[in-house]
Amino acid sequence: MGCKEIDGQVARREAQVSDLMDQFVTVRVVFANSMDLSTFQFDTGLTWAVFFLNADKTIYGRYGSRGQANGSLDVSLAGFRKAMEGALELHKGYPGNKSSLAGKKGPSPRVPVPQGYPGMQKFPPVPTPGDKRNNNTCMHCHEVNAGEYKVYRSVKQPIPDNVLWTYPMPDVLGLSLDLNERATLKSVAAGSPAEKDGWKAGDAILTLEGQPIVSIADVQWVLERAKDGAKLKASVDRGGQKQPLTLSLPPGWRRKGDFGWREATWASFRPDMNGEDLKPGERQTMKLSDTATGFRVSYVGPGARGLQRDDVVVEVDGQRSGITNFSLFLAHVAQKRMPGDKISLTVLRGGQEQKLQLTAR
Amino acid sequence: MKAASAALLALLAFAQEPGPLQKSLVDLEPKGPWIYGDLAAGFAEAKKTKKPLLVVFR
Repeated sequence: MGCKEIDGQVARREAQVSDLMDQFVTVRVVFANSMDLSTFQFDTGLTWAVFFLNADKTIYGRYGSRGQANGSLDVSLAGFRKAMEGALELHKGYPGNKSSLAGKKGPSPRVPVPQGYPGMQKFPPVPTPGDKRNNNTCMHCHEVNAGEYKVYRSVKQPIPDNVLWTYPMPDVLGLSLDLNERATLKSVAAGSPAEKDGWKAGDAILTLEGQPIVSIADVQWVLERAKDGAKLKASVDRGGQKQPLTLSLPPGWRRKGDFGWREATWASFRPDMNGEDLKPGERQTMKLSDTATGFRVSYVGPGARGLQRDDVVVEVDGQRSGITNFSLFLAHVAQKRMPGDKISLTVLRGGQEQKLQLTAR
Repeated sequence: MKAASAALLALLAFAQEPGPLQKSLVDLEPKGPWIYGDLAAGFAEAKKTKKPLLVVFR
């Protein structure tokens, strides 16, 4: 499932957003061929993403987030409206606020345009008129996402964590943000890094690392560039008062996220299968501890013969612990199994263990 | 001023006409003053009107 609903609402300039949209020059881009990756750095795994910019290419903010299989659950028209309000405020204050916006543009990208990625030279500068959307000349954004994977896969190098768990959702640090606001905390997870740092429900993030925040995507942008062990500086509105806070990023913080929804994984390293977390209580029934390897197979394609839907994987290449969800399994493949390598699995099927092998792509 | 407004309206009307690319991609039909698939035109228009840009990647 994608973001068709909000895409249609915005494309039609529905009443809830039309007054603010009319204050922008609106541009719709439906192909990634020749995209200027220096200016437009964003989560290319998204099916719908928005940039707010000045004519001089200074970025005011981004909108569009996804951290789970259902792509429509992390965006809302109300949140989009709030982000537009924020962008218009920043435009009003420009260029006086220019220095605070500098961090919204990233360093030079690996390649200036997507055709620089391995295997993507075949795409023309623009799709060939007369062809259909799903043809060989129209590059989709997720193919840019796959390009990053292919940089490593093509030379048999492990794909790093920050490429796999790219654009982390704030939830991985315990920050659950309200979809209908710019970046306001709906709740803070008990025991999370954010709770330990003193974050509270209702806090509205004004700035993060000095950057004005207009959306959850803006928070993700800052997180994307952050390193393990960093302590990010934030300013929040708490009950009408500005308050400074820090946000600590413990080692391995990205690994709490889910990237199994990313279309790009299918085109690069994913075995021809899908998986899902075990439901609450299932681990107990199967006598699997919280740290034991375990996830359920939810789809099997022709490239993963031997597996069956509803198999529960309990061992991966001899590892009976640590691979507690499907994203961690994909990371194992992306980092420890190169194209052509065998992947040994033990699955629970009808209460019995069975061993089988897949071939890494 | 009137001439400038008329020119802008003409441009917007042009922008609303689905081009061959939009038709061939079977994309939905955006309503109102969208610039379709032409970022350079968007930046030029933003410079001229002093409006910010809103760019949707779909």
